[in-house]
Amino acid sequence: MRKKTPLRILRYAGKTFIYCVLVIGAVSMIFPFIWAVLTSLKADASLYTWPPVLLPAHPQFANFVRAWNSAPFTRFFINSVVVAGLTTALMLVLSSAAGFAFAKYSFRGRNILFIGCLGTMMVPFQVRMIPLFQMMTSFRMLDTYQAMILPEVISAFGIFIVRQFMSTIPDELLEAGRMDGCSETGLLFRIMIPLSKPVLAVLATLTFQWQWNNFLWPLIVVRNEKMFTLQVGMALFRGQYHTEWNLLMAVVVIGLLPTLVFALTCQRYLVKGVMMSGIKG
Amino acid sequence: MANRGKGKHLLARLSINKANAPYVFLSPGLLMLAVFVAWPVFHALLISLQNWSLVGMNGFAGLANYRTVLSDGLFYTSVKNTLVYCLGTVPVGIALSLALAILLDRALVGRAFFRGAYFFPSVISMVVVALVWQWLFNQEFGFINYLLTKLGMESLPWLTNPGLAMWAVIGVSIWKNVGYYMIIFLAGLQNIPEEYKEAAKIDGAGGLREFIHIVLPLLRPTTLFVLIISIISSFFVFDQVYVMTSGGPAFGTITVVQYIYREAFEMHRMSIGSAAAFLLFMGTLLVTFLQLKLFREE
Repeated sequence: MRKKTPLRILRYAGKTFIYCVLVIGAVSMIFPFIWAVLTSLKADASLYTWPPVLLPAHPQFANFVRAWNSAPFTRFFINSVVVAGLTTALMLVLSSAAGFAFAKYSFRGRNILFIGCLGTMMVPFQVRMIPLFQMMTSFRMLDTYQAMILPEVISAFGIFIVRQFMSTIPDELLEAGRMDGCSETGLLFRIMIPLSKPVLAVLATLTFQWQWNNFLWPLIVVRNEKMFTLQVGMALFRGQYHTEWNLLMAVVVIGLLPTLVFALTCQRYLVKGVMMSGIKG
Repeated sequence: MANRGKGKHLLARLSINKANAPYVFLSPGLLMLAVFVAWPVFHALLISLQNWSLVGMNGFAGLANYRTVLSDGLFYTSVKNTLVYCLGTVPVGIALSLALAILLDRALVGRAFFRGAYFFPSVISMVVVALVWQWLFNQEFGFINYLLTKLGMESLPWLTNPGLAMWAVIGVSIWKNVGYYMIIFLAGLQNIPEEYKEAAKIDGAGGLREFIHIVLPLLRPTTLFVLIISIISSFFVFDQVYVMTSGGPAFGTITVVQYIYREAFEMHRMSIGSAAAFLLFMGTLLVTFLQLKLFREE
């Protein structure tokens, strides 16, 4: 009984310490973005003062319009939506079909094909980028959406997680479907895909996020400014207007908004996706 | 399946049935994998053994490209930088993300907020992150130097000093990825039965010892996974370096992937780039294999 009070104090002290650490950490996670927002609202003159102005006295909302119009950012944005959207759609269809085949049919060569499929996970993109660039050159597809999309529309990871999920769907459902005269394609589209929504939502979220953030491949395969994605466009903007940090941060803030909305609405799936990739290993 | 429109139309006879369905469903996906993933690996090897330049292929080169890469001082600089980056990011990154996962695994007021805050940077593109931090690290007007002078220290030329720039890049990468690995560790912790964790939950030194002896060994597969993927991804670091320093100053931050990018797409020496890429690939496979062997056998 004597020990109870010191122990409790110790525990409170420990709790307080933990909270302090967590709060400081969280602030350091969020502050850079707040600083970007504050910078984006500064007038050109108040940008280069020392010590820095923390809160802009006269927020320059016009900076956003100026920055956005200083390069074809609307076009970059549309390009990003098209590339990420189409890649995600194709990834879902291809992974569902392949995952279904691996999960619910027994056929000759299944194991070898599946292992070979998983084997492609070991190959990093950076090893493939030079041959892929040459391939796109010889297909005359440089500066096109196809070039950005095609190499990204399938991944062994996608096939794998869909297969794992579909394996848990009872075979009886398929048999019942066949009895009712449902075609094999019907089984895929009317039974398996609707039942696999949880895993497909995760795959869609992850794919869209990856493609939206993808930088190296669009950087390589696109030279024409009209075809830049938002990420490439932002990196180029830095090169052109190196010193106009308020405008650069304005572009960054606009670029961040869709990601913020996306992260808040899809956080559940994003977290689940990361967890899945962890369990896989 | 046989009684639907049997033999009436050619189309019906060609239709998908239970026997050919798996092949029909697999072929689009596997075809894409073969064309855009499997074949390029072999093609990369071929290119590295040939003399490719901007104008095209002119002849077989054998191992000459590999010899060129291995006698290029810049390649060794890039390897050294990449290893510094790996050693700088991986241990600290794992320790921090593990600590965060442990703290945020227990019931805590504001837990969802904290998890969200730490996870958020990992959702954002590296380009955005690098641009924001480039401004924070700005030598004359950046916030980091403002903080330093507030604390009575000197301003530092973060991104313009070859020695410092790599540490800035390392700091940013840890900052960005810590939440991602935290989530993987949280998933690992969730798989550990509550009663094991109970013992470690008691605060103080006793709890810490229990944690090291009970929870940590159970977390071993997760830790191994995080170790492997964080080492692999550190070997392939590119975006943040490209945006923050472009490999400079004075090649102080050039990484292997940047070396490959430079050779292939700036100097138009595709074969040299491919040879370097293949060396990196082999190195990665070797390191991963060694890790698996070391940690699985114990």
